[in-house]
Amino acid sequence: MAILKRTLPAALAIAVGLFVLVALLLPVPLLSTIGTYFIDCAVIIAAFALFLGLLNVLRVHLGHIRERTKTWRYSVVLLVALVLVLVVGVVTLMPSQADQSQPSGPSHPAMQWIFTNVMVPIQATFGALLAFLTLAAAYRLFRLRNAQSAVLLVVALLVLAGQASFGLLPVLPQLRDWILDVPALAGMRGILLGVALGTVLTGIRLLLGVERPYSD
Amino acid sequence: MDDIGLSTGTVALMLLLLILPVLFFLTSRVRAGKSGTLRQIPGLEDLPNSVGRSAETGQPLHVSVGVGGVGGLSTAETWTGLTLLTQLADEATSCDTPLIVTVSDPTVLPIAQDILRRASARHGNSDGYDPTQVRFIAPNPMAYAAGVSGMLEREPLTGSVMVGSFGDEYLLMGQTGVRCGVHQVIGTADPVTLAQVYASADDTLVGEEIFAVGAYTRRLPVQIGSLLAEDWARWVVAAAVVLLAIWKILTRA
Repeated sequence: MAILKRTLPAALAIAVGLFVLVALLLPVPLLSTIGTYFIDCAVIIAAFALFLGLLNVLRVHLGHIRERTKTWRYSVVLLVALVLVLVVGVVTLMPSQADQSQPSGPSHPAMQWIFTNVMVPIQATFGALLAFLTLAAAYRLFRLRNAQSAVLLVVALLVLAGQASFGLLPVLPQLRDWILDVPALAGMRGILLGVALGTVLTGIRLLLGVERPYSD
Repeated sequence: MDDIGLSTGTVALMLLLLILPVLFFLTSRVRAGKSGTLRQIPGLEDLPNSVGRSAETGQPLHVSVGVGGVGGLSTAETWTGLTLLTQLADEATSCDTPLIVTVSDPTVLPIAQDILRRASARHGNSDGYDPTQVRFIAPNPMAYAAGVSGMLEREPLTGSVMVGSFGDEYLLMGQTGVRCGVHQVIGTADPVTLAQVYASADDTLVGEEIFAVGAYTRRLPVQIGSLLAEDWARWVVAAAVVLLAIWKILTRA
């Protein structure tokens, strides 16, 4: 049983992972075809996870309603919206027998109406909120606490002044460009370099079976 | 890469073949006790306190593994979040502290549930596992952030540990956490999001530091060896960048 539960999943994951890696690195058409097949399989399995997600949402929010938690009313709204969109989606997925060329599923006018008039405005609202939240975060960030904050504040003020100098001081836009193109970009590339190496080594650890949250 | 006449795949293969022997060599040194000292990362050292605070107050700790999933570009970051969740689940189960885990990508949901289930089983408390401790909020990052913000505001939480892939939507959760006085430990690899994280988190894991989570929490020789190999590879890449720049300047002249 231990082999079935622990060794087999790990061995399978490592073998497939190594194969896909080799297929990506070596330009051999056969390897590439099989590697793509494995990736497609993973995509199909991942699609089933969305169904699990749906069940999880139902279970969590039905629990809220049953236990009458503080947020149970929001759970009712969420479940009603979920069922409504699901029903519209399923009904519109079935094209009418009369005209097969009519759009169905997500491209059906009813689903498009929901996206355009409900989803898009809500997302745009949250997007707009980010501008104010950025301001609040900047205020918190620029409060003088130590030398680091002081440097941050001075550099930010210089970049802001360069952005809105209105041609009064031509040196400010040049200084802004230099700050953004040299020290800021160098720092960003340094972080990205570290992240890339970290990603490679995490991948190696996964392929070696050292880190495997999927089994004990 | 075309500048030096090598394809990206070839460079990746070379990097891999270069790193592997170094990784094995450094791991063997760590096993032999010859090296293995890790530098201090305040964000990681404060993690046990997050569980401790939660245990003292009896209020849950929120854990997020980001908006990425398993199988996409952000797999490594998500995996790091899951590694951290494994550690936090063990600590939380041992001191009977509830965790609330939120996920955005459905591929992470069964893995996160399995991590909590196994942590309960390891501590002989299989009945204590509740699958609704892991909540799938929404696959859309902005909708996920809105859901988590609502949760931070309405539910009594002592802290929030979020390690994984985050974008601009992070700000919504981060600033809500600040407003509600939730102690936040945040780690992500995206440099643009890091600026927002730095402004709102109590402890920050900057860029590559998130990949050190396994080495700090489990301290296996191969994990420590991998961190040392990463440091070594960084020096090699930096030297290569400088040498290539000099070579370019000389050939142009």
